[in-house]
Amino acid sequence: MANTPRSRVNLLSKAISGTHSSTGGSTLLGYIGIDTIIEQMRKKTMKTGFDFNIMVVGHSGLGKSTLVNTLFKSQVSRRSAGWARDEKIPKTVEIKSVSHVIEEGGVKMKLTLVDTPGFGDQINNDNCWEPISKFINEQYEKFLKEEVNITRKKRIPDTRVHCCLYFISPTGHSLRQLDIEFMKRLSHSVNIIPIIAKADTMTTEERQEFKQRVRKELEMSGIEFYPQKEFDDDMEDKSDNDKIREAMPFAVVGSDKEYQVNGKRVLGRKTAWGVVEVENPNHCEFAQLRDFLIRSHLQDLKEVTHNIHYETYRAKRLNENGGLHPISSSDTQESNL
Amino acid sequence: LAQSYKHWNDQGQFTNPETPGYVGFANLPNQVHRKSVKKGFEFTLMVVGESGLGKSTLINSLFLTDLYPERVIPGAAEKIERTVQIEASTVEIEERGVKLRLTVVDTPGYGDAINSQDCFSTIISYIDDQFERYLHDESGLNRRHIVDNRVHCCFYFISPLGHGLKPLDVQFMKAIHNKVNVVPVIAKADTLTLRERERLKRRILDEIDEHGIKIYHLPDAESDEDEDFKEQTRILKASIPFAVVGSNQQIEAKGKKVRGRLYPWGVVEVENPEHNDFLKLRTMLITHMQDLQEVTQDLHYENFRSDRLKRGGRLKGPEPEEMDKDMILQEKEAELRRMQEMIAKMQAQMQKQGDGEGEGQHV
Repeated sequence: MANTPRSRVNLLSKAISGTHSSTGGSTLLGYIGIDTIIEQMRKKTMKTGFDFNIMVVGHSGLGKSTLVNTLFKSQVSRRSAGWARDEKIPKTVEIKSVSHVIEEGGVKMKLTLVDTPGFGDQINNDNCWEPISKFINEQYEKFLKEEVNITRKKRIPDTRVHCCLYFISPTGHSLRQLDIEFMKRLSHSVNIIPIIAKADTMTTEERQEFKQRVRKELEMSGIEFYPQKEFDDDMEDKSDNDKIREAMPFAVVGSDKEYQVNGKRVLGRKTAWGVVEVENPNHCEFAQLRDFLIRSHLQDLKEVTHNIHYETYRAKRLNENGGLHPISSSDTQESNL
Repeated sequence: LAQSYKHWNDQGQFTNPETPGYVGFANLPNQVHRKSVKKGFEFTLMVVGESGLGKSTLINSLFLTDLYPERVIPGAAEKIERTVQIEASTVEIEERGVKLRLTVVDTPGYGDAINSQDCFSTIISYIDDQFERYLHDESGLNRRHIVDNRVHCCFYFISPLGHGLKPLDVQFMKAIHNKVNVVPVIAKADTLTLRERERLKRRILDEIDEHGIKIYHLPDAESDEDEDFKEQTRILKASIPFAVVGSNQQIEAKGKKVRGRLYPWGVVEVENPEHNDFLKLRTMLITHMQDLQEVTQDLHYENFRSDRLKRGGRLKGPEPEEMDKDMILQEKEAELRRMQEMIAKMQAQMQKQGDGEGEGQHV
């Protein structure tokens, strides 16, 4: 049975749930209170809050900023639909991070949005994924440096990218070459979640056909997007994740404007022929994406990043340098990321 | 002629409602019209834009025909090896006795590659080749059946998803605006709300100005046209670039069948001017077909012709380029030899004369 940290936590919670579990422990003769550990963990998390770092990649105009604002129901990204008059496409890919602390139900989250303006916008887009790959590895390196230190901080600041939303242009035809190149190269160092942007361009049939074609192309190119099949531990995980994988990539629409529809106020886009409702599952799959990303797999994204992607990077790095020793600053400058 | 006038006046009445002095050449436009109708019209339209912008659907919608019956859309893996292709399809459309031979030149592969640096050299060569061919035919001996395959108009499709023109859009339009009439079109306009559409149009017009791109300008209506036509022209001019939606499906909406796209939140009607500018684009194309041909002939072709003739070299027929270069080389060598022989002869003559003068006259 797989012994990844994910499965270990599951075992622990099952054992604590009060049932006299059959995992080989002795039966409890009375109530001890071990199950209160869950509550203690929860209180701790609420006090310390947690970090989540999300990166958005896709060429200009696919609604990346708007979608993130819609997902987290706040103005996380200031670059929304109101284009500044003098906003030009940058000549090379830039990496721009912005952090916000958002709070809900007593839980504080420090959300960091990493934007990648300039990706895919040039005439010659060769190697435009390199600055992004470099940035991701730099965050792993930063974390590794802290971890390997003799005196470590109590809580290492986590700037590693937990999730990379890759925006696919809704052409209705197929993936573009750049899409495949990017995802092939980066799916082994970061969790990639491909989504179909601006899905209100397509009718329901067109959307289904496009999704099928995209999924087939992803499969043919051997691209393992999140949730990756190889990291499913038990049958429960597998069946949940299978359902999600079947429905991916989610075709989404984002909006930060509200309109009145049937007496309710909804987030949407108003056109001359109707209102596209963002949270209506008949209109687009935004609600599914949000539930998947935030309500069920947020913690898992962090865990896979830490236990798998980071560990892969760490193993590679330590094998290069030949041993565990605190990495001095001069070493990191020479290391080839 | 004077006698015949007198003849009419003497009669006192005449069967035709013609005033005296009427010659009858005012009838000439009708004769031209009749001849043109008999001959039919030729028009070549080029469509350029990246994959998935709805170009084929729009062309089929515009001309209510299916120009691409056996179309197979390639996947991303297949697209990797492709360069830009030129595919011309011709269709003969007839309406009320007027025949139109329409050629649509498609450019699959444009903008698809990761590195699109060179993707339009093929397109520019094609346009130039058509001009070259026409120039060759026009300068030939038998000019009765010149076929006009020159590109009269190029619809350039702009993605509605961006925030304006992309670097590739700007570069391409600048490379062809002196060779063909460029009509920018915002594709898949049903992606945009009304406000977004207006903003995008303004942004595109600003960028066209900024980069000095010369798009096709509709001529102003003549002062003697009726008010309706003038108003129509004003509206058309104000709507450029046209934001269009194409569709080949009939949808049931408000009790009648319309061409459109059915979404869960509503129906986009292709022919509804409040939904998109499809009708405007079609009107512009049809009412200005003649003007587009004229501008191609009088401006773009003439520019090409004067450049070409200044450059010199033989006018290329439909022969392959290598053979031509060899022939030019051979001719030049032959000319060189001839000139050398002439110089040698002249020198010999001068020599003889010189000798002759020195030694007295030769017999």
